[in-house]
Amino acid sequence: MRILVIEDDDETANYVVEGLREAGHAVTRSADGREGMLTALDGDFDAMVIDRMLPGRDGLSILAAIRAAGVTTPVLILSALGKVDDRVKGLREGADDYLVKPFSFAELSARLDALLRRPPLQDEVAELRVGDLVIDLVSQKVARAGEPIVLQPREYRLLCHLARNAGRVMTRTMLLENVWDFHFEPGTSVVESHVSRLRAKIDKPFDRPLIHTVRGAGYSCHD
Amino acid sequence: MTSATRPGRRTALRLSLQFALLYAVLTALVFGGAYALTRYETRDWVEDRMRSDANDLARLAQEEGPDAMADAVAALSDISFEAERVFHLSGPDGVRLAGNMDGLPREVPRFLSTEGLTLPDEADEEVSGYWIRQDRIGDLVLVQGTSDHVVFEILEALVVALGLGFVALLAIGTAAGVRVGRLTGDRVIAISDALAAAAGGDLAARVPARVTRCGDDLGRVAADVNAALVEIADLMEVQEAVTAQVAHDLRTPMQRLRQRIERLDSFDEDAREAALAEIEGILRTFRALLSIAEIGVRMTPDDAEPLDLGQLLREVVETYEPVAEDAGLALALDLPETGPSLRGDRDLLVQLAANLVENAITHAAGATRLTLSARGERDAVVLIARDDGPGILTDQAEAVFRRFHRLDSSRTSGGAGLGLSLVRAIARLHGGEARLLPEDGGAVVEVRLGRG
Repeated sequence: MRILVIEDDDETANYVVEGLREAGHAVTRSADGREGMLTALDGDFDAMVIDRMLPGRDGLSILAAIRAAGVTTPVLILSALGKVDDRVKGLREGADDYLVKPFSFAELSARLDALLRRPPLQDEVAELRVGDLVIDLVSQKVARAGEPIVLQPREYRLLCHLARNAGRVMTRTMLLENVWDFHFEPGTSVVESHVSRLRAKIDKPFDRPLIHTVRGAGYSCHD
Repeated sequence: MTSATRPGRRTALRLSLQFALLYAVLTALVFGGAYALTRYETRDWVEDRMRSDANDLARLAQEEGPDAMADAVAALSDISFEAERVFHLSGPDGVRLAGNMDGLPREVPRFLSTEGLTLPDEADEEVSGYWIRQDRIGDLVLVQGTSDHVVFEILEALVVALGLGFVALLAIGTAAGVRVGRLTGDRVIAISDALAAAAGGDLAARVPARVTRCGDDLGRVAADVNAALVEIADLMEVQEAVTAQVAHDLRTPMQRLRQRIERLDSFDEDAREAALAEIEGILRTFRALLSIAEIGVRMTPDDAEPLDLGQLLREVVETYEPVAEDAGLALALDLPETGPSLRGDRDLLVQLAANLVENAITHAAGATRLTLSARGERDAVVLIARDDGPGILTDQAEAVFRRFHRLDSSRTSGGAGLGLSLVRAIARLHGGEARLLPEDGGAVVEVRLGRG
């Protein structure tokens, strides 16, 4: 995948660029706002990572400009401001995701993956399958190896989210945002407790686990 | 602000009423004084006239004999208009010789009521009595009286004059009062509008120049209010800039530090994880502090939307149930069927509720139950978090809302000591307050939120 990174801090940019290259992406980096915007308008990218504060031109105004020019490429905004309502402002300007510094590469990578492989028509799917796990989205019934499993509503939503993104890493903050609509860091292990309860029903009675912990990153659901 | 129009109108009305009352009291005083003075002066004049007449009659009796005097008394009685003057001339045996009044008591007082007296028919009905003078002329007794009718006539004129004056004064006074009051009221409203707008988040609000230009007290107050508003706006701007600068200047090096640790060539995966976890802990505190500072600077939530607080609490409790259960804490809800509703920032209010739950999980050692309840009041929504833990000492009730305050200083749970300050900052942002209620057993945190 081709990814454009507009970031003025060299060390952070290198960290991101190297990580993305190691993951097999083709990366273009720009250190200046104006130049970055022109590159974004010219080039054909699958995703863009844009820093909020840049010399030359502010990240959000670049975003507004490329959206106005009809570029629909997924954009992830990086911000060192991290103000309470910045995320909302960023999303309103047309960002697809918003990440506050400092972030881990695992977080950035997981979020970019989600942006790059956003399933286009997920609403029309009537059933999700991961290995021998079957989720009937219409009747909201879950079964593994033919055995029905009774889940709490939140457990069901968590499982659906993991299964929909099967094979991808879901970080704790991504789960908090997408499953619980929480946009802050809890001081307690909210996600871990839910995952552990879900595992007790989905994985424990069976030989092979489907929900895997990805160290330093989050969780991934796959056979 | 609709409530801001009230104080001014009240001032105007109160001022008019005070004017009216003042006039009424003054008029009553003037009337009372005029009455006493008129009565006294009239009485004096009447007495003088009666003394003079008595002297003239005595001289007549001496020069021309008692019969001539009796004729004169009879003539005076005849010409007395509406029995304004009454006479009674009697001989030594007490038998009336001349006069137009009869039925005198044995002892004649200085003021004689008309009751019991025999008076000419034309006597004025308004007369209540007579001032009496008694003279002994030779062996005859002359009793003459002058009615107090004249006093009443004068007082009547006075009443009419003062009454008309009172009405006129009242009308002018009320008009002046209303006008002055409206002038004052308008300016009070202008000042209170500016303050309300500032409290509502509009720090550019100022009292208009037409108010500050007036050189009186209110004008000076208005000018001071404007100066204070300018000062506050400047301070807010500086604080906001500093907060943003600190955030930016610290986040970039923290980002570098984080990535360096992440990329350390080390075989000790655990040590790296531990270092990263440590950094995450620092960051959590840092972010919480910045949030509190930033929320404290703001005046109103930027992203207010209509919310059902009850529904929001259900979601938070549902989310926290497993982690609370692991900590041995049961979560309970006490909510109305729907609502209470308010306008607010959903993300921040979720965080507020989450912090209340996390506060109980991390700080209420031994608590087995946390109940979140919410109810709507007229212009506020009240959220109460009640646990059955050991409670918090009364002298700590304010301290727990301070940044970095910990009741148990040995605790090191991440972000601890900031949870309740954030709760308070968010409550205040929503026009409310968070406080600890004094309660036996268990901690009870009350959060009041404006309806927005």
